[in-house]
Amino acid sequence: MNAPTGKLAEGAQDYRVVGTRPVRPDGVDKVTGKAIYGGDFVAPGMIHGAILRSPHAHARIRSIDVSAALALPGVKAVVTGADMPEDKALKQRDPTGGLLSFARHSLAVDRAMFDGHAVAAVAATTPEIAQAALALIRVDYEVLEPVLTIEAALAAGAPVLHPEHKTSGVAPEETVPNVLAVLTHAKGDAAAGFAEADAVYEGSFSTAPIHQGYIEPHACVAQWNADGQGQIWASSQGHFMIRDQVGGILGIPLANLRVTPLEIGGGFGGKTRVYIEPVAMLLARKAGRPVRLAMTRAEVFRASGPAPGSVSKIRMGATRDGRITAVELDIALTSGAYAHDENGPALASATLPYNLANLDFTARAVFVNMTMTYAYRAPAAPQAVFAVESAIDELARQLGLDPLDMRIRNVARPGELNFHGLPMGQVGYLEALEAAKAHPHWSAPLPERQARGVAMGAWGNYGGPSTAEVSVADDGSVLVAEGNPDIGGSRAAMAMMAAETLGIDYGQVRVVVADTSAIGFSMNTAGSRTTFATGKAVIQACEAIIADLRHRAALIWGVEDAEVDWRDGAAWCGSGDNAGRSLAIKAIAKRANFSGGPIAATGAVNAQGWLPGVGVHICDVAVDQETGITTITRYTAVQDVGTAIHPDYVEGQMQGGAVQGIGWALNEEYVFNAGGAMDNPGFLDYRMPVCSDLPMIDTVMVEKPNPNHPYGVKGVGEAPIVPPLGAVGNAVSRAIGKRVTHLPLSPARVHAAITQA
Amino acid sequence: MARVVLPRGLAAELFGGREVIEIAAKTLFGVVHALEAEAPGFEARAEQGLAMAVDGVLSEDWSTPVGPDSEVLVVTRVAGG
Repeated sequence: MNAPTGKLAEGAQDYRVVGTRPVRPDGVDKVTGKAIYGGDFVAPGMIHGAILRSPHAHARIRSIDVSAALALPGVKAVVTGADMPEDKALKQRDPTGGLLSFARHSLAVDRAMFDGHAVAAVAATTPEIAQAALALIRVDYEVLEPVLTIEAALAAGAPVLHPEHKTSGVAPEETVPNVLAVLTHAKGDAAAGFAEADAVYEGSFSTAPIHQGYIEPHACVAQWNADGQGQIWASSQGHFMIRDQVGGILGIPLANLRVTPLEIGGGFGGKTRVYIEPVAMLLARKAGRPVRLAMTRAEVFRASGPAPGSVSKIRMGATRDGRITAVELDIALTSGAYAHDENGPALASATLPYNLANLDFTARAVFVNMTMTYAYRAPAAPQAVFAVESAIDELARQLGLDPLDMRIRNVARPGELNFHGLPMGQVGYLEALEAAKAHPHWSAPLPERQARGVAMGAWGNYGGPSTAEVSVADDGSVLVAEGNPDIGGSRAAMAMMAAETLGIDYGQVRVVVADTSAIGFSMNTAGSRTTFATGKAVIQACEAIIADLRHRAALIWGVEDAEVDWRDGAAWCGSGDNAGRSLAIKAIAKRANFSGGPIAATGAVNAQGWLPGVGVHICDVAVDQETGITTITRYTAVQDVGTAIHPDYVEGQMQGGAVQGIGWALNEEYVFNAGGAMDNPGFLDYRMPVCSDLPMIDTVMVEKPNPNHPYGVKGVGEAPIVPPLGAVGNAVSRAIGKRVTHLPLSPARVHAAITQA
Repeated sequence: MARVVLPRGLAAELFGGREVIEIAAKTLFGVVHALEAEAPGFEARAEQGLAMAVDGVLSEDWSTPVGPDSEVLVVTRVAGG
């Protein structure tokens, strides 16, 4: 791995703890198998659930006969869509329809909308009895014609998946069948921009629906007592999300539903909504026992929330010196069987790192008969940016320009107005490009029969609501409770920011992830928000602790609070007989009960001031001209990461994002048969890159601190998946001398492109 | 009166195509309430998926002050995965 240069960007500071690489606090449990993941948890009296799923991608459910299953000894409960709340109740609880979509996706009512759609579930004393019971359930289907692609869904006469739906984003009379939502955005005058262009590129691009591929399948244990109180133990990207969505769907007061987070084996956006939890609760209520539900890998593929496929058309013009004069982008994304709309992030991300005068963008979310898609790491940005970065590469080639120079020619600088007309913040778009250009990889000679591609991509990131509790024990050790599941190292990052703020050692701080009944609300661990937003909550609580500790020291010394300073983890007296003396945190904590009681504070924020992250990726490939097999021979990821709190984790995010993007570009796709069943719901047939497929992903952190965060934090988790599709596509295009436009770049597709006249 | 600028599609769907609406409000709460009065359902949409910027600064705190000459930009909220 390429070590950081050690040179800090303007505004960066030297810290005592921040920026070091301590051992991760959850490491021992995870490498010794002691960590309790979703599938590990056991509740007293727990029984086992299983779900019957539709073999049809589109079918009317005429009837479901569960009598034989119920009669099977050991079966304690059977549920179907009839046990779910009606549409009216769900729309009352959420007028936007979000809960309705989640509810219907988790258990079908009247129609099976995709291959793998849950139509019934059982709970039994053993997993084997539960499976046997599923086989006894009789479902009478009227099979309907499925709609599997964007093109098919938009074709005249296509079956309409939701006839009652009105397309959002257009006037009611302009609703379009099978189109969930339309979003348009225009800036400047695209026609005038094309008129001044010396070169224009026009192309069509597509990407397949793909899965996040997290290692841990969805799993939970649910309990719903006769007194109305319920509990769920589950792994997810947000236990408050599970509480709110399950409570909303089933009409449970949120204070009556306690959700305990278990360790999570990856999520990448796919675990930011409920799938099986409402069904587990219904089974638990009927059975009067805790019920475990866990997906198999095939169920994860067929019935969780993969990333949308896309079809896009792009037209881009540029002057001879590389200034982009206009961009037209029309992108359609698969929503899946229910409402999921990524139009906003697709358009906001498409040209985010550039300051372009003339844009004309349209995005559409399209219903198709596959599982409802959902967020995947910078949702919809990779699909849109693939088209944009391919077009830039084509224009650079046509104009004889260095592709990095062309990007530098158009890059956005702080203070310039972004897509929405809001001023750009302190984002290192230019610094990332310059770092890429200065990297030895960019100037390294290419071995024979290899080619190099580059692409840039950014993601807006997020802040939002988070809560943290900080308390000081009698021995001066510090406990931090956060409400965010630790996916990418938040326990370490929170401990480091707490230690930095309090002026104590990292080893004195222990962080736990508290359940929904033990701490205030925290939004999902998603949107690259946790280190930024929850970090702010932790720092806020630590600052309150410092004020309290200074006050207690002042009481002990008999001076005013203002005479007490806090530095290096101790109170320092500035006046009186004790002037120059100090009391360490341990000494004050020991007297806590004689100076006001326990030392504890809450930080609760709706964190604002987040800034985008941006990556520039360089990719070398070798393409076997006879087989079409593409091999990545060298890969470098450059990223503006703000201040890297724990550089190991940051580099890990950059490498992981790059690898997932490479898989998206080269291998991964949902393959459906003519009837709409997924043909490859397993890792043998759904090909994700493994270590032996790839070289070490070189990382270069550009640290341009966020001035809106005490330690300069920017989100880092999503930006690195945005550039790889373009970087790989551009490299392969240069390797074979033809523009590749459809992902994945499977050997067959690349071979066809090579041999095509 | 503050000048509220709506996304084109949202304006077409809920506000009869008006992309700019003049509103007298002291905070973003006031802006949301006024837009809800004009187009029932706006507030729920705003809670779920819209963000607002006052005079060039994005704010999800609806107590943010709005001046008589302010420009309020309504945009799609992007949270991520």
